[in-house]
Amino acid sequence: MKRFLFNILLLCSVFYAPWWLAVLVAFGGAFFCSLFYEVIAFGLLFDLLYGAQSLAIGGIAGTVTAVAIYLIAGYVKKIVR
Amino acid sequence: MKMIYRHAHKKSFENNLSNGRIALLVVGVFLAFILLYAPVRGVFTQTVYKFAPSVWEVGNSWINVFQTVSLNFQDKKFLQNENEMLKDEISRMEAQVLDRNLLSEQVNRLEEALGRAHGDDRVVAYVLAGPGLSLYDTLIVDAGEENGVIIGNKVVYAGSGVIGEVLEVSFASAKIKLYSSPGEETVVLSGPKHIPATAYGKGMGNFEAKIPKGSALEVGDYVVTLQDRLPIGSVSLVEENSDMPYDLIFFRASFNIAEIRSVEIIIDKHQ
Repeated sequence: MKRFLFNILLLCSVFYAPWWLAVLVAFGGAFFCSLFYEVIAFGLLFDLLYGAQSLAIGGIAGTVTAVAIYLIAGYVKKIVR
Repeated sequence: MKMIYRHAHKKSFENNLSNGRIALLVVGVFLAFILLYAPVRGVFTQTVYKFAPSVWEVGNSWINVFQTVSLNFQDKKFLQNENEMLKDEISRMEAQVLDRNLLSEQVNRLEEALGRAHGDDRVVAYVLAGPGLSLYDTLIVDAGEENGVIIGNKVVYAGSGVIGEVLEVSFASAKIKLYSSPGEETVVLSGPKHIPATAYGKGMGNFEAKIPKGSALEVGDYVVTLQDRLPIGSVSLVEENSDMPYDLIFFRASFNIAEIRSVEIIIDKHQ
């Protein structure tokens, strides 16, 4: 249920919320759910929706951020728990 | 017995770790393939854009409903005042539009007289998702291939201020790169003397450019694009540094990029 809720929240954040809110929700999902791989798929969706390869920043910021969130959340989980 | 268990446990842990690394590598290669190989990325983007405009439209409809409902709870006196203010604003803008139309007619007549008549079609497009939603400083609008939009079309706001160009097109929507996207470079002419410079995007309608020393630019001077001579912004700060061989100017779009609700896409007949 928790996982489903975070997935819905993250999907809504990617489409309607400012990027920083989506980052917060993604971090929450990666922290509270085990092996929250979906965060990377949402990062990819973010890049496909808003980014483009020809942009100066390459159009991969969403996926890179998602992978970073997944790794950092995993590390934080290890420290806290 | 304990030793055998520990050994087996260690081996299983190592296998899991190795499997995890392989899975991560496979995912990494897959993502790189999608994001960095243009044809594959194009296919994925087109697929996503088959449903994305509808999702944004549904969201915007809900926002409209929410705004309408919240209006009912606003103070009557406040609404009357706001109504009066908006009426004043409309009459002021109507006068400005009339003035603009007269100027436009004069320009057209002059161009025809000089044999340089250059017609363009404009498509009005509503913004589905603005730059506030992402770090990319891109706009998603509801006009696409079906409206004749193609990659490279210029995009203007409020009839004159150029804000960017079309980057990707799908059937019913288009992705617009704002000139102010971080790291984007645009050649511009600044001030009354048309001093050429390369403007670097700083995000959300802000730019920075280096100009030769003693260019005598002032705050408020207009900056236009080199190619179409369309206004891109006005100078907000001139930074002079005696140690540098150039001055820095900071300029910004004369409107709030985050509040744009509709834009015009110039479909150049000559393109």
